[in-house]
Amino acid sequence: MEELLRVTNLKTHFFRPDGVVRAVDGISYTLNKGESLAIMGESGCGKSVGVMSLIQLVRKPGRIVEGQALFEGRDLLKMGKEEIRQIRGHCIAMIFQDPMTSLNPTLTIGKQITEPMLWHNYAGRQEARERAIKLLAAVGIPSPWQRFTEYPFQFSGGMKQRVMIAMALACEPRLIIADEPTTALDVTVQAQIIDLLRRMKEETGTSVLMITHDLGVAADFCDKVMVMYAGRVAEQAPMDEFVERPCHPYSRGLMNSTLDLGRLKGRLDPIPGAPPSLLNPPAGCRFHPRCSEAMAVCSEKEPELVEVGPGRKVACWTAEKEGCKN
Amino acid sequence: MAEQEAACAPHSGLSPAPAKAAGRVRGVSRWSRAWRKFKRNKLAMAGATVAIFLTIVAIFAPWIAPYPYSESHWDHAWEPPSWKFPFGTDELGRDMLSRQIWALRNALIIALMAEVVTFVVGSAIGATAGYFGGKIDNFLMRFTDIMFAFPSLLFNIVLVAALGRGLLVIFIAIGVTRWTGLARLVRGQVLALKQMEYVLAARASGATGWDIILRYLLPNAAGPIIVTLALGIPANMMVESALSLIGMGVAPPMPSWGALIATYQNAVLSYPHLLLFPAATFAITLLSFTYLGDGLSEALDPKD
Amino acid sequence: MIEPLLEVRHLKQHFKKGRARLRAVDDVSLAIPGGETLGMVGESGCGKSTVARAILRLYDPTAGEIWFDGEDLARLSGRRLREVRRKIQIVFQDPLASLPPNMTAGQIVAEPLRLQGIGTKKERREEAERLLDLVGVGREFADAFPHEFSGGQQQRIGVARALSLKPKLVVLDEPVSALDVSIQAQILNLLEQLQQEYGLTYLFIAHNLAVVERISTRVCVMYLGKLVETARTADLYQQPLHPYTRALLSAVPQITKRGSLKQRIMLEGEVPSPLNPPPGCRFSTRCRLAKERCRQEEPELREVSQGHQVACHLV
Repeated sequence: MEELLRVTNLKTHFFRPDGVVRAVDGISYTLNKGESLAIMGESGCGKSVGVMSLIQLVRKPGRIVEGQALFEGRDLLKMGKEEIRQIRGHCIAMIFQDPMTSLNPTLTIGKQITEPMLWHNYAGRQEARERAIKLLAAVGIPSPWQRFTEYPFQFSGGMKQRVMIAMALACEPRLIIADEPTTALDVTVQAQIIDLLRRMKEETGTSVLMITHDLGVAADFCDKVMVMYAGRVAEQAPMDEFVERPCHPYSRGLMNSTLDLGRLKGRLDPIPGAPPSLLNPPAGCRFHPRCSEAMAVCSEKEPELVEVGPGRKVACWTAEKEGCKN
Repeated sequence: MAEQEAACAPHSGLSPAPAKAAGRVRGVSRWSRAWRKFKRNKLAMAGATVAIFLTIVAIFAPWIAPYPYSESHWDHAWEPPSWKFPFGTDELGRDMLSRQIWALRNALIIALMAEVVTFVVGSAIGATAGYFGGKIDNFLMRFTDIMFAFPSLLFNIVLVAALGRGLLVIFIAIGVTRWTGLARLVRGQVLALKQMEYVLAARASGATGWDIILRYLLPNAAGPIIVTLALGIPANMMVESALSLIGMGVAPPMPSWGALIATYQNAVLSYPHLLLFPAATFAITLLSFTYLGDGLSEALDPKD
Repeated sequence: MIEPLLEVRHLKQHFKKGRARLRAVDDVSLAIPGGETLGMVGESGCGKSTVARAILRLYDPTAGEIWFDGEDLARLSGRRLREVRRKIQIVFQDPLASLPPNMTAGQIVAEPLRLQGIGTKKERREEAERLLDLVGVGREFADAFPHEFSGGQQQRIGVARALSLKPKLVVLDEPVSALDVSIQAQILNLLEQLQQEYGLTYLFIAHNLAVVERISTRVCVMYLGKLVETARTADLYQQPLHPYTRALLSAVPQITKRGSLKQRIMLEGEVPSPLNPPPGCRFSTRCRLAKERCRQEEPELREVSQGHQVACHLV
């Protein structure tokens, strides 16, 4: 498979008056064409910041300190303002969590879909209009030619998320970044949107980076998964294997905390404690204070991300020594 | 999940569980957090320092001012700045420094007292409207709208013309026209806070109306109220000087910046100190209080 | 059958919205026996939170009765209501928004005692510290402010506050929805443990069906202000009868059965507005099985087997 994105040692830090928050602290991964990768982890683990860094959308006092993000061979992090603007929305499109606040309430839906196509000289005015209507129909909006001239407030939450997806697809991006695309939606609507995303992905062959905290959604939609913890990568794996046999103790903890329909009763086995402050992360493995399998070395040296199987990488001393347990 | 970390500072670094030191953990209240933030803001600290200095000068004006504000030194009329008269003298030989110190005192008294009027009227009307809602809200807010729509400077002029040019009349006149903004703000705050879940939780535990107003609504609405009041001070000074500029401010010989600037605007070429010094001190006063207010608004911003 | 601790009969909660009438809750009846957990599920806007708030009498009900401990809460007011309120407490979804930012953790937990005039200041303080220990926050944090805690700790403080008046019924309104999964599991464990130790009765409201399955004895499903199905948890999850319940359950993405969404029951369209609910069965506009009768006649909630009630003409 052809490689689309290769991120190497990406570091994004926030320089705040009270210290440096290492939100993203050296993450590396690759994404192939047509693949979907789930980036998982708890709030504040850096999953959003890591992805927003790719298109240089990090707000002050945040700054990309180090790293490389090769997108079709070009380094996104070295691009100038104009160059990265050309990439955003054209080669890489975004879908945000909250459809209510991600659309401009003062512009018609039609204008919001056609504008990016005009900005990027993707299409002429008439062409853009036709394509927008086609897209609205494709994402399942009834009577699209009529809704084209309507405003966001006339759309429900699910419909707005459909519009967001149509907007993201407008310029035929090679990569879609979906940041918690279904978190704000009800389950039945969530199922519709996942269905739609899957269909769109199959039809257009675009790659998807999906940021989510919902293992169910990730397992359902994505081919690969990357688990982040406190700004670092804990584990990378193909989704099937991950669901069968999570390797990192943190991944196992996540799995044990996740409720699935029909799971037997009995005490849940959650991870104790809460994620550490990124202002002052623990030495050694960042997960060791909460880890039931921690050894002496875990509090001293930070484990590297090492390959433990085809497409599987884990940053854990136990796994490095004994391989993946089950 | 209420996760909004996209492209902003991650929160796990923002609100770590309080460090578990030996024994008890001392919490840091929002006020001390705001104070820490304020201290880091250099412009705000500079503004606050100057504002405090000016306030002290104003309070002790009778002792600090080198001469009485209306004392004439006939042999020193129209003099440029000197050691004896650091800001020079006017056409009657009165010390300009002393006159400006008194102008500052008047401006501050009027501005502060007008804010007191604003606070009392504005928060009472706003809180009542927001808390009770319905018809009371409707009536009070329409009244507020009418007051807001009334040309306030005209209203001030009418009041002052009718009741005389005393300090009391002037600050009441200014306060009476400036409370509408605060009333709207307080009403909005109360409406929003009333719906907060912690207020519902208090009601579910049997809290009475007064418990809720005094312990939940007012303390949590204090930030924006303080900011509005602080930024109202320079605004009131502007109104006061505008009134005296058109001769409706404090009665002479009591000095006022507006009157000083109005009197000497034509003398700027021959006696520049008579216009430049009042203009400069007035500008510094306004700036210092504005920076103080801006600093407060940033420090008390509930967003982080 | 034992006398239920809480029994809601034909509760209606309407709100005026301009000239229209928002029928947030429209004729809902339910009962919770003491010591049990009733789970309530449904999508946003179905009225489940409104039911919770009506039970706490944070609203004045439009119609219906709320029997709790032998008294009809719907008819109480003033002093008597304040006294009864201590027996029902609530935990909210957003842990930070539910804690007053101007008070310390200790003050927050002691506040209900203060409001009810129980104990001296010192006694209340001691009780608050005991509760903070109980919920796993730790008394050493009694002087810290809400914003200094993580989401999970904030929610524990919310639970401690709810327990301070020794309530019989605790209404849990999406208590874990705003938390990360690992923290969710911690809070669920805590809630289960507290229920066993103190014999608490829970009304557990959530949109996450897996969470509700785990914690509830019985479950009821709401759609557009109406109860459409109620049954013991296992019955409801294994043999859902109402078409809406089936669709809802099949829409939940499952980890162990990947791609399960592909075989789900597709629900067309979206929930109609409660300002203008459809005539007949409220689900008829989205139901694939809907017949003419469904669009005209409103189905009653009726018992189809032991403890399993459904409001559908076709069952």
